[in-house]
Amino acid sequence: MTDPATTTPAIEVAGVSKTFTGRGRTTRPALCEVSFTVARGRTTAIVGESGAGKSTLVRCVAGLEKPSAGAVLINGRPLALRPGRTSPVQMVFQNPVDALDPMRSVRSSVAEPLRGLPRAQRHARVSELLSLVGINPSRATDRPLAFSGGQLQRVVIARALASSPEVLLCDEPTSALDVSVQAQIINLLLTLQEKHQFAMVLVTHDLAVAKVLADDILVLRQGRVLFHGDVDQLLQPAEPLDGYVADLVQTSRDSELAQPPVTPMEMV
Amino acid sequence: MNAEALRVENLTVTTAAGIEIVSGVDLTVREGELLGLLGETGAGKTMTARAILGLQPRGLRATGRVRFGDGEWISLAQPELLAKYLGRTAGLMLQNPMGAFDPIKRIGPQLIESVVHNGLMTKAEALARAAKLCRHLGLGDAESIFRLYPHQLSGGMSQRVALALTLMPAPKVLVVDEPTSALDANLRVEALKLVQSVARDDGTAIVLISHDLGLVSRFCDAIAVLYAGHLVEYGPTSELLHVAAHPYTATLISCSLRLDGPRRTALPTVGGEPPLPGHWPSGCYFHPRCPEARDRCSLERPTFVAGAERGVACHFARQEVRS
Repeated sequence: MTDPATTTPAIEVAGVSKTFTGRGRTTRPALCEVSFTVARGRTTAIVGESGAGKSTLVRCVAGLEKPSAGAVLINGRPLALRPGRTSPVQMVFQNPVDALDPMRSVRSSVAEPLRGLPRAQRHARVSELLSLVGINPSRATDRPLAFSGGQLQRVVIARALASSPEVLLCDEPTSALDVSVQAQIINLLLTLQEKHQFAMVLVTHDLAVAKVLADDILVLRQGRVLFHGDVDQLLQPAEPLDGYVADLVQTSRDSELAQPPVTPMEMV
Repeated sequence: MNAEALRVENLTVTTAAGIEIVSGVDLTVREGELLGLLGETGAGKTMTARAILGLQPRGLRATGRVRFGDGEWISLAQPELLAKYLGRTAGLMLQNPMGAFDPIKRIGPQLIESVVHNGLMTKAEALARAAKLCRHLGLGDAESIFRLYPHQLSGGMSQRVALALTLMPAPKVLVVDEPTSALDANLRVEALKLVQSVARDDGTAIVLISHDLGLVSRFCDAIAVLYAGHLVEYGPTSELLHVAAHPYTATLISCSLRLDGPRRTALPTVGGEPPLPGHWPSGCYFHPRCPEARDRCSLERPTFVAGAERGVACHFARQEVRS
């Protein structure tokens, strides 16, 4: 863990609660006193079942939802979203097909956060971003329909990185992708984070994805934090885990590949 | 060895434009066994599943033949003949559970409707079976579930109710298309355990369609791997995982994430993505991504060599297939 006294964490979520008011004035607590910090260049994974509050939490960090109580600080300051300015917090969504305008070229979508720049500079930057994520820049004028799912997710990541964000929020970035493509996107996120040192929050239902991408894991259930700590503490706990969390680890083990694979290097 | 419950031969699905999206697939499932049909986007998993039951979308033409149990061979080109087997003999559960329900009818009546209407059970028997299935599937109090409308179910619940709906007539063959993609990890294992117990207890033969090698390896007795509309490999689960004969299967195994896997280090990958129907490469469809591709692979399509237990379509298969 980073010492908060010496460095300001990129993300600080302090005692965030969120209550939605439904019909008939019933209130539904979606988040309850959630606190965590993420330092620059590090990743926290948020894991939980549907309805646990994962998306609400990420929306609060992105500034799309206002917490009922508590505060979200980005680099020590509350996030102020202003029209015409790009937020230092960018998002990558689950389904890349829905995240891009089908009628616009990929270049136009990626250039969206770069509106202030002159045209030539904008295009140069888009080409740079596309090569960074492994898309041939000559395809910049193509529309999303011409790309496969994995390529579109790369484009979405390029767009998220266009404004050099401090924080990248990834909501299930690989669950809409094929297994053989999932590994490519995971590798891409790892390389990009190494290079750009953004803080990352990863929402996932897959503990194995969390293990390979994240430093810390936060297990949410019904808006409450059941576990927060290093990934290894979750997988090889020194003290007994909460029953629900232990079950989560067990089911994840129960659904992974049955026996050790033949050494992957045999493929070369 | 159990009796054969489902046999499919030379299943081919062609679009109106003449593009083959599934080519010459052979499958065999015995009573009480689970066959995992594994494949990625565009591999033709769903089309295979639907064509077995004559339910491919209009405009697609299926050829080949199918046999349930020791019955007659039925041509897949005649969906109207296959329709007679739908439901009691062969059930299908599709990916999107919400599409399985009538939105303006309560769950209880929907669950028992078809079995009572077709005279398979009395209303009381049907209600008892529905309640038992609901309990098995972790839906809690069956009485309160029966009173709900489909829109009141959460994603996970509707998937489980849809599973219960398919299981109501106790079909002999069950084709399940991605039964767990909308479920949480813990419910996913539960749902598959139930599907497995249906196979073991009722002797149902199950074709489980999935893209998740991990889950398939845990619950299926045998695995058939599809790539770009072709069967590339099949075999008993343990043998296939031990030595994958086809490089594509080996790729799927090495790309699978494991909790004991490495942390924050790059994973082994293959480049590229599965081809989409109509954009098939020359020769072996996997050769542009294959780490072991040689000259012959881009020129000549390998034939499927089928043995008794295992089969593979690769010029340079790493496992001999004995017939």
